[in-house]
Amino acid sequence: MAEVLDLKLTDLEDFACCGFPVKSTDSGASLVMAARNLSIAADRGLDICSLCNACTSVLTEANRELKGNKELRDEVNEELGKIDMEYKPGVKVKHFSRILYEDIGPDAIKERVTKDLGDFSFSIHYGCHYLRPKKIYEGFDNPEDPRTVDELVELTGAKVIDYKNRLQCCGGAILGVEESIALKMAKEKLDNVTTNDVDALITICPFCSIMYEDNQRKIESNFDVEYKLPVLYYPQLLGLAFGLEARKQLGFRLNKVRPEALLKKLEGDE
Amino acid sequence: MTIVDLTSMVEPQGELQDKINGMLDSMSEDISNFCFQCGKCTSGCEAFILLELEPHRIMALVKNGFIDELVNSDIIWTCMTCFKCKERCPQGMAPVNVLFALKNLAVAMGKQIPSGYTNMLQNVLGTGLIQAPKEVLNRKNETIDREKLNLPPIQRPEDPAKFQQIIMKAATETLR
Repeated sequence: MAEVLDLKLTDLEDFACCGFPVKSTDSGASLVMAARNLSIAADRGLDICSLCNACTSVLTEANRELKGNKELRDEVNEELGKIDMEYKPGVKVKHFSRILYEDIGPDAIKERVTKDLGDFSFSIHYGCHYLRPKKIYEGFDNPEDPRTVDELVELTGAKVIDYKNRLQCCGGAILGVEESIALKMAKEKLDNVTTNDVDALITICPFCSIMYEDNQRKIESNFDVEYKLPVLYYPQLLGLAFGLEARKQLGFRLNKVRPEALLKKLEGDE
Repeated sequence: MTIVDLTSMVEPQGELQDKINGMLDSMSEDISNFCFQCGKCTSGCEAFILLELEPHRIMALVKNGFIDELVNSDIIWTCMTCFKCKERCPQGMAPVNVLFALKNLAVAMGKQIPSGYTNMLQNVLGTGLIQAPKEVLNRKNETIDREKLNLPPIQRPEDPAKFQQIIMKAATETLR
């Protein structure tokens, strides 16, 4: 999908976990992990395109703090120095959606849309760390009333359906601590989204997708409900609008909640 | 298992107590100066309704020195880190960061913490990833891995020992 927009993505060898998962247990370790990843990107002369909200926030925040605080930078570099690495400011970190919105831009994306998805309607889950803390994102989007992903979805011609409490967190952060509560939170959102007739829920964060897609069946059996609500990662949707092949090129064969009805509707359109 | 068990194999934590005291001092000063208990944080807290986390109370408790009670409590581990409290505080405070500090403190003091967090830390230290890619069985009883799904391999630290070396070191000291 990125290739259609002439975006060249490279997997960074030696990259590790962003650091967010250990921030609660040890912020210092989290910072060193983020700095290590940033230094790997700097060595390769590449910027970072992150696909997950939490990775985006932790890497962006670390980048900001280390750039602006020499004392902290020296402290972190003393650690990194032991394994012959060094943090140097200069790498940019951006979420994939933000790159689409800011760097490619709605107009250039719209030009490449070959299939109008006007018959479809979707609801969007933004996820917390895409928007907050606002300070680290230099005012990108409005954390209380976000619009960027709405606009990106509307580029495909599809309708965006608002729903109750759309800024509710996915609950993923406490999945490992209080699973039943995390699932209850995800259930609330699935309830609210399915009040309307939508073809799928669109996410921009794989961890939010875990809550709504991977855990959907578990929620259905725990609470004796049925949703069968497909959950698409935004690039999958955009890929459809670019006319790419759903199963082979866009990973629809890997979606946990089968998007068959959606794909059938799409084929029926042709 | 506590985190101290995990990390104590590296080196003793002699100056830890001083650092903890330093952390506490700076934290309580911030809070007493600015938080006026308006409760805006709690009104929007994702963990309030289902888990009874009340960030404004956490701020008041820290302000009044109930640190030991807090680091021993389960409630600090219910924060979803949604950052709404930080965004909405009229005084520019960040209860979410106070909670991060309290959780860090609990770990540094060797308190019992939810197993989910110890597992995450163990995974990250061991593999560099929150979870290593797994093989699964499909309905036809075939073992499926990333390669069979035509997915590229996941990147991870090329030298796990080196990775552990710096992360373990950081995990035994409180850098900030």
